Amino acid sequence: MSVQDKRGLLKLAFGVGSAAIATTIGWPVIAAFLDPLARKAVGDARPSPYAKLGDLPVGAPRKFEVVSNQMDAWDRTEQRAVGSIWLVRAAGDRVSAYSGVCPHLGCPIGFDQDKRVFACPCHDSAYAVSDGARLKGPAARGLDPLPVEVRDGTVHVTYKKFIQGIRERKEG
Amino acid sequence: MRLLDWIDDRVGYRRLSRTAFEEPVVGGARWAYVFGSALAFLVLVQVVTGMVLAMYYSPSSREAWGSVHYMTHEVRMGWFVRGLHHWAASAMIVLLVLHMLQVFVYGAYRKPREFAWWTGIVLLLTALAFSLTGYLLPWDQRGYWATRVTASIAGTLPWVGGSLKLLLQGGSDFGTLTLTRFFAMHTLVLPVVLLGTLGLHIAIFRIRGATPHWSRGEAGLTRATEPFWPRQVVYDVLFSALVLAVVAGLTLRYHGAPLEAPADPSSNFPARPEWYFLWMFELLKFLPGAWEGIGILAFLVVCLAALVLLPFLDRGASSAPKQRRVVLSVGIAMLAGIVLLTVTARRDDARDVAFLQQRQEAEAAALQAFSLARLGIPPGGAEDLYLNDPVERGKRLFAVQCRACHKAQASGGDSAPDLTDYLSHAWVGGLILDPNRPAYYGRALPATMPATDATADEIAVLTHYVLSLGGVASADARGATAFEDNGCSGCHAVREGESQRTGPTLAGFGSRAWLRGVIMNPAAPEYFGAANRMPAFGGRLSDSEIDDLLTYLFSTRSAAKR
Repeated sequence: MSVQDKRGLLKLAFGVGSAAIATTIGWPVIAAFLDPLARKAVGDARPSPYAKLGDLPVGAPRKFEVVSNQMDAWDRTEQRAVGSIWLVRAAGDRVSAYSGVCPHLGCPIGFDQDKRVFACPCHDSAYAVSDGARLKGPAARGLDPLPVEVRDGTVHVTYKKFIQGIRERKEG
Repeated sequence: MRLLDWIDDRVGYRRLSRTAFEEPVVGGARWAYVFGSALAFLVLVQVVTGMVLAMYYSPSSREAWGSVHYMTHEVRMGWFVRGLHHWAASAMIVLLVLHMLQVFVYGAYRKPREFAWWTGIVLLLTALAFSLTGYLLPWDQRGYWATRVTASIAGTLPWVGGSLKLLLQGGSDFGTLTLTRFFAMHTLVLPVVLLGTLGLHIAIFRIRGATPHWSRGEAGLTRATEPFWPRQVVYDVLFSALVLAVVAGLTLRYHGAPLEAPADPSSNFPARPEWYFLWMFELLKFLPGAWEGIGILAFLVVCLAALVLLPFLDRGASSAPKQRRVVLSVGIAMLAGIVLLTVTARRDDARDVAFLQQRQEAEAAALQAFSLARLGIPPGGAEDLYLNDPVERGKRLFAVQCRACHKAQASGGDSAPDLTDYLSHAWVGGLILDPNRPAYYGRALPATMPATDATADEIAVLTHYVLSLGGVASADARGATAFEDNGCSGCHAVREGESQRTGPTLAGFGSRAWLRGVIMNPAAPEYFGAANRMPAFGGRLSDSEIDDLLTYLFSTRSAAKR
């Protein structure tokens, strides 16, 4: 075997050895690091009662805490506030519910009493009380509506989480 | 290549890599030199895997176990990363011993390489400190008890013991402050010490170079001298790959790293340290109580002093082992002693029936904890995992509410029926035979119901019949006849809505509904009536608490024997 061949063989051994090491450590480490990609945010599976229809004033939005049992990583949380929703009762008995999360970048939506609009305190997006449509600001879409049911005079809402910053309304 | 030239012009990395790779290895590349490089490689493995583990770990006594369980059972490949970290720690100890042995036999600690040796000793102690701090982090039974023992040993030292123990555990007792302290040590303090000392160790080593084999002459060494790259680098890489293969193999073989049930200060756990501390554990058995701390400390100080002073003790002209017989035999004898103590500790455990029994119980407890942890860790932390299990909840309730009068599973009072195996075929058979024995209603009710003179076969038929009323056994036509013939129907109703008799109703006997009724109001006319002495629990316990109690009581009922 020539000196050249020997050197080539050594380099090959080096390459194979290093590649084996890099794969054995790199693959599990990267897989574990990327684990969050496989996990999805979950809202409530079933509707929960929030208010008596009669207690909701017509045209004036009311904010409610979403209290639910959820898993926070390995922890089971019991009856903990996980978000907020807005309920708006229009004339008649039609009730709309919106997620309290701004669809722009996730700040908490408030209600501006003077201008009578939903307003985001972060980047000045504003949304209509009547249908949640975007009135101004950088948000890509209007407020995210939530499924509402009125059963026996009680308003039930199913809380969901949506992806922010995109035009499309997608759960996640 | 012009980009690389441009970078090199500015930072001069080529000079750096030349220094690193073209360093001459006196006497040429050798397999004997691979241990140090493999150790440096394992440090890298620990750093990389440790970073990922830290992303999932939570250092608090409520959280730690749940987080480790999560990274092991939920995170994709998390078990493998944790396994690599665990087994690489063990491999590091093995390699440290091999590395030191090679240095020892070659006389590489001798003048002028004393500082390489001393920094090496610091690295050894750092590695052991890593192991000690890391062992506790999962906050499982194993780490909890082993570390408590260590802290207690420290606590027995004269003068400083008490303070040392407080400093170790970070507070007056073992808990979250211990974990935050150990975690900070393990992930911040010790890594800085390790990387700093390792840099120094390698730099000092580079100045004097490797110690060639004692038999090789000056001329031969010079002739064989070659640069670090490629041959020595390839030897190092191949050996490191082999070490990693063993570590990964162990990880696969044992499916990651061990995890016991969550730390439980009230439990009975056979504490053992990690295998490389077993020799000290064994040594403790020979030291009388009061001398444990001081004995271990004195022993360690002597060992450490011997290691530190070794370069001064071994100053002969030649490094050939033949000229260093005394030093080598003392060193080998100490290593042999450590191996012997380790083997003895292992062998004693393997022969100890009580230990094996406790190990089995610990493994069962761990499996139960894993299955309960799938429902999430309760707000009270992993110690409260049993709250996920109705049987465990019921058992706790029984201990508080019922145990003063009733016995179950061999513990409790005896003024009321023994509820072990309650409402099973065997229990009911015994009841029919003679209800007035102390284990039944002898101390709880007046002897209204007589003992029977029925045959064993008849009793079996009766037992089967009354249990069929609650759906616990299948119906049997002979039963109803025997019930009539033995005069039972004179006192006991068997169907819902049947007119009330003097004895308890047997409608639904042995079912959850029947027992729920008894627990809620035992003095009701359809149960024990005026003779009853048991309190009514209808107002005391909630429906779901009674449910848990029923689940617990029925969980002790053995399956029917025909």
